Amino acid sequence: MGTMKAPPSGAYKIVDVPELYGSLIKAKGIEGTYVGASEAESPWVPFGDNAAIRHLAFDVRDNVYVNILWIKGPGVIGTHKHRGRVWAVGLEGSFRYLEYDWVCRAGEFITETPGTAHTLVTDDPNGMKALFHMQGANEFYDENGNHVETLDVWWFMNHYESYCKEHGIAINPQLYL
Amino acid sequence: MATVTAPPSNLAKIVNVPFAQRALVEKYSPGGRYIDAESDVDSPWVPFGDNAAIKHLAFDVRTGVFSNILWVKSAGAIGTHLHRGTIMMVCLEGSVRYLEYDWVASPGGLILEVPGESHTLVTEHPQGVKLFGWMQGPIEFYDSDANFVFTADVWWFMEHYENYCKEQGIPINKKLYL
Repeated sequence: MGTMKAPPSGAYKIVDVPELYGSLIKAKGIEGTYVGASEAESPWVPFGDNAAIRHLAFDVRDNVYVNILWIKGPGVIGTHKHRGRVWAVGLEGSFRYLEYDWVCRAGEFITETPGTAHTLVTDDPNGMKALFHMQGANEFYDENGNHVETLDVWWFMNHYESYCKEHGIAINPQLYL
Repeated sequence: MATVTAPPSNLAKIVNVPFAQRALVEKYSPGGRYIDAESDVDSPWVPFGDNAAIKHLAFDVRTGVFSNILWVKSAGAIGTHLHRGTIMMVCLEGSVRYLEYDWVASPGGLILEVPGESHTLVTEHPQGVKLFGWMQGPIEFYDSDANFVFTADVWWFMEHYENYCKEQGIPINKKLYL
């Protein structure tokens, strides 16, 4: 059986895909979302003194949340334990975890898996930006190993909505999958 | 383009499905499997407190998924807990409800639970309840004063299974590990 080497791309045009369930998809399906780069579409929300988060998506059915983490100069995001899965892509600067021997730079990709705990640091003078796709609970601990708080999609949504309310920014429905 | 109302099923025979990535599937897929949940051959009943037991059926450490049958043996409760993931359960025997909701699950009934919900499971049935569950993510248990007690996730369930097997000299069943 043959398999395609690349997608058909001979014509710069929209092709009507044969669709048996078009009306059902139109009535009940969820459209994909677009979040542009402007702060009107999603602002940088402070996350401590040296960091901010730009929220991009919330999926309350699966406890999935997607955002960009920005640490503005050399700094730390304290030790935390994941109960779900994380995918991330470095966008600017660099970051690493004290527990691992790699450094994630712009264009590089990492995963984190349920049960792992680690401490994010950036040694870059300009800090770091990275896109995180996270699932499930994220438990933060203080330097003595005491549990501080568990963050999940609801915490991230509240982080976004509280900031929008305080600053009179309209909630962007594109963030809610 | 016609719509199909039922799958072709005129012959009970294996058809070689053309699928270009078959070799990759054979090389990398963990493969589906059957776990005999009706007997103790594949997985024993592991005590869960005095009045309950769990039969572990699957662990997926990549996504934090775990599957099992919860058996509450007579009228009783499983204390208030908060879900961070999505849960699907089917009532197999007896009946069960949550103090927070107005429905009672009976055999064959399906229960869905979503992230952020907390609730208290009770069975008032004299024979208790058996519940099959396919669950993702941590479950946080609280005591009657709303103090956090512990978190049960795929690792907790795996250890629950493995500890009991070790104690009882039962070999670990690799089929349970996706």
